[in-house]
Amino acid sequence: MTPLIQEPLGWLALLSRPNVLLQMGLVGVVLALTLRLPLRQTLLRRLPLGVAQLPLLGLGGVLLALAGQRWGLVLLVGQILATWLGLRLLETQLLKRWLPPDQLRLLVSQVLRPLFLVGVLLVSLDALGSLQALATQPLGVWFGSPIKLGRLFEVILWLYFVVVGSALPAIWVGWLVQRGLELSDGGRRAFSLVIRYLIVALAFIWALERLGINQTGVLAVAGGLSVGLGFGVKEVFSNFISGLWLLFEGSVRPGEVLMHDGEACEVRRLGLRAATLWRGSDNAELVVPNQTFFTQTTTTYTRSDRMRRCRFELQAAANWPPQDILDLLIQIARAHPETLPQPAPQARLLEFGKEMNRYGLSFSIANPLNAGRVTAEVLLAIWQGFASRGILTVPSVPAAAAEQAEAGDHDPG
Amino acid sequence: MPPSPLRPALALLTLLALAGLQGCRALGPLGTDTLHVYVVPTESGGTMASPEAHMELAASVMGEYRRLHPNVNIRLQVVPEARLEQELQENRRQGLGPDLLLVRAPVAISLRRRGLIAPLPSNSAMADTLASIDPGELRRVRDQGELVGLPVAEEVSLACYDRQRVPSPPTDVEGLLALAAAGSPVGVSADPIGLWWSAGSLGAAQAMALLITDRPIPPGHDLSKDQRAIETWLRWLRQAALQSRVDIAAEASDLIDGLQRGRLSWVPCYSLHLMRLQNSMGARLGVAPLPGGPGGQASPFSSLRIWAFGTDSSANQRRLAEDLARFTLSPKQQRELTLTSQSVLPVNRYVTVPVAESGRLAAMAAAQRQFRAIGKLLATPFSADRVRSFLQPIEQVIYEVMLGVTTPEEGARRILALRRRP
Repeated sequence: MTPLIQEPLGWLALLSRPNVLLQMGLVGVVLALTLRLPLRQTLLRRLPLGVAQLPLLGLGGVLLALAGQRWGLVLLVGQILATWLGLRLLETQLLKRWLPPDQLRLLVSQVLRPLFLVGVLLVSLDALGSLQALATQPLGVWFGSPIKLGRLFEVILWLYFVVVGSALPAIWVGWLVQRGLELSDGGRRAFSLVIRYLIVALAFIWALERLGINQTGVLAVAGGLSVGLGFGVKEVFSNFISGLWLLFEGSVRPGEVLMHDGEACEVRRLGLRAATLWRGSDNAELVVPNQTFFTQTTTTYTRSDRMRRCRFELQAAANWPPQDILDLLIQIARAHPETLPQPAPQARLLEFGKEMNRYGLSFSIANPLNAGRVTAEVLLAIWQGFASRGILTVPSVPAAAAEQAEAGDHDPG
Repeated sequence: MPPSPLRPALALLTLLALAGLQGCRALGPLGTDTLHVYVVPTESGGTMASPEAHMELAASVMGEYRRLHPNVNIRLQVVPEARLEQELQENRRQGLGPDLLLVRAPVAISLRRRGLIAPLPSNSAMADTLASIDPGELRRVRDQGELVGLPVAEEVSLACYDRQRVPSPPTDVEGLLALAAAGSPVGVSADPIGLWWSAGSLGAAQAMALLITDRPIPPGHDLSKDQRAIETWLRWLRQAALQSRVDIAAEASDLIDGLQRGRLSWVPCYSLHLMRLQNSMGARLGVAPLPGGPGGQASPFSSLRIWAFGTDSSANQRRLAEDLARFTLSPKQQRELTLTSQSVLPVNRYVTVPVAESGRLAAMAAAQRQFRAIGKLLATPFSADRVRSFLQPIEQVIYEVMLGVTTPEEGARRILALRRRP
C-alpha cells in the first residue's frame, strides 16, 4: 500500500480513540442542532454561520476540560468558525465599502475563500500530525528531479494565488499607467493583461526552479512544443497572438458593434484566445476566435463614432410628382424620434419607370443595434403616408445593405 | 420530499460509531489499525545523528513486525527533540498524541514527569520481556519508582578515523595530542556532551557524574579532589586547544563532515553516524574505542533508545503498541537489528554482540563496557531537563578555558558551583 493511501487510513485510526470520538460527537451535535434542526428555523435563521455555534462549542469545550477530557479538537473547530466569521465580516463590512462589486466578487471567490480553505486544510493536517509526513511523500522523478508532495503543493498553491491574485494589482497598475500616459481604455486593458501574463510567466519560471526541474528536460519539452506549435496548436497560438495584437491596437473592443456573419453583434468580452459577441436577434453569445478579426475585414459601426446610416429603396407611382414623393419621404424620416437631424435624412430619385419610379431614402440613427427596428418603423410610416394620400406604391426589395441591416438588427427592448 | 433535518446528524453519528467499532474490533484477517509512532532524533549539538539515520533505525526495528502483521499500518513521524514537548502538549489537548515514541531515556523521563507519556504497562507479558533486559539498562529508565519506557537499543560514542592517515588509532589522550603534533588533524567537539568521553580519561568523570545526576554531595565528600580532577580535565582541553592541528568544532556534524571530506583524520563520533560515514568513506573508515588517559579509561557517551507509550491510544492501539515493543525485544530481532544496522547495540541480555564478525561491533562493545564501568557513577537516572540546565554554563566555562579567558582553576570552581549543596 502506498504511503499516500496509508496516511488517510492513519487518520481514521485516530477517530477510533474514545477521547477523539467524544470531541467529534460534541462538534457534530452542536452543528446538527444549529444548522439543521427546527431550532435553526426559529431562532438562528438570520445569524451567520459561527455566531450560534461558537458559544455552544465554547461551553462544550469548558465542560470537557472540567471533566478532565480532551478539548483541543473542539477548540480547533471553534477557531476555524471564528476565522470564517472574521472573513465574512471583512467581506461584508470592510471590503464591500472599498471595492466595486465585480472586484470584490473576484477577490472573495478567487483569493480569500480559497485561502481560507487551504488554511483549514493545512491546520487540520497539522492537527492530525501528518502534514510533515505527507509533505515528504515522494511523487517520483520528473525531468531527472525527485519531486515531493509538499514541494509540489507549495508550488501549485503559489502559482494559483499568483495567477488569480495578479488580476487586481495588474488592473490597478493599468489605471495608474493610463493616468500617467493618457492611454486609451483599450490600451489600459492591454497593458494590464500584459503585466498579468508577465507576472504569471515569471511565476512559472520560479515554479520550475523551486521544483528543481532539470532545465535540459524543460528545453526538450519546449523543443517538442515548438514542433507542436507548428502543427497541432498553431491555431491556439495564432489566436493568442491575435488577441494581444487586437488588445494593443484597440480595433475590437468590448462595447463595439460589428458585423459578424451578416448580423450586427456587440462585443462583450475580448479574451486572449477568443472574443465573446452578443447577437440580439436570438440573444445568443458567440465565441469567435481572435484570428477571425485579425485576418478578415471587419465592419464596425463604432470605430470612430456609434452612428449608423440606414438606407433602403422603394417604388412609387410614376404619375405622382417626384418632388412631392421626395419631400414626403424626408418628412416621414425626420418624424421618427430616433433618426438624427445631422447627418440629415436624404431622399433621392433613382430611376424612372413606365408605371413606377424608384426612390432611395437614407437616414442616421444613434444606436446601430436599433437599425432593423427603426427601418421597419419608417417603412410602416411611409406606407401609412402613401396610403393616406392615395399614392399606390410597392416598396422594392431593399438594397443589399439595408437588407442585411434588417435581417441582422433587432429590437432589444 | 424535503430532506430530513436529522439526516446529516445521523450520518455523522453513524460515521463516529463505525470508527469507534473499528477501534474495538479485534485484530483479525479483516481487522486493521494504525500505530502512530514518533521517531525523536537527538537534538542539535553534541552527538546528533541525522533524522534519516533515526528513521532507518526505526524502520529496521519494525520491519519484521510489519511483514508478520500486514494489517497493522505503522505511521512514522520524525519529531525533533527540541519540538517534542510542544508537539505532545498540543496533541494531548486534542487526543491525537502518538501511540509510541522512540526516544532517548532522559527525554522520556522528562516527558513522564510532565505527564506527557504513560508509564510502562505492567502485565505478565511485559514482565517477561523486562526479565530479558539488562538490569543496568532498566535502571536508566526507572524514575520515581516506575519505568518510563522499554529499552530497545543502545548507541555509544566512539573514535572514527581515516585508516589511510592514521594506521593505528591512539589509545590515550597523550597519544591523541601526539598524533596531532605529528601532523594529522584531529577534531574535538567543544560542547560538554561531545567532550564527555575525555572526562573519564582525565579522571573527572566521578566529579561530573554528581553534577549530571543531581545527587546531593554526600557528607564528608572530598571537594578538593573533585576540584583537582576537573582542573586536570580543563587543563588538558586548554592544551589541546592550543595545538594548531586540533580543530575545535561547535557541532558534532562539523567533525563528521571534516572526516568525510578528508579535512580531519580522527574525530569522536556516534555509532549512528557510522552508516553515513561508511557510505562516504568505505574501507577508509576506521572505528575504535575512545582513548583513555591518566585518569582511567574514557567515558564514552551512551544513549539508550527506548519505547515510550502515548497517553491517547485506544485499547486496541495500546495492545498493538505493546505487542510491537515486545516484539522488537525478542533475541532474534535484537540480533538482527545489531547485525543489519551495525550502529546500535542490543539491550536483551541474552543476545551477545558478535564481536568476532565485525571490528565495528567490537569497538562498540568495548565502548559499551567502558560506559558500563563509568555508568555506575550514573546509577541515578537523570532527566533531559537536568542536562539542559547545566549544559550552557558548562559550555561557557569550557569555551573560556580553551580561549584562555578563564584559568582551569577558576573554571573548575565555576563548574563545581553548579552542583547541589548538601
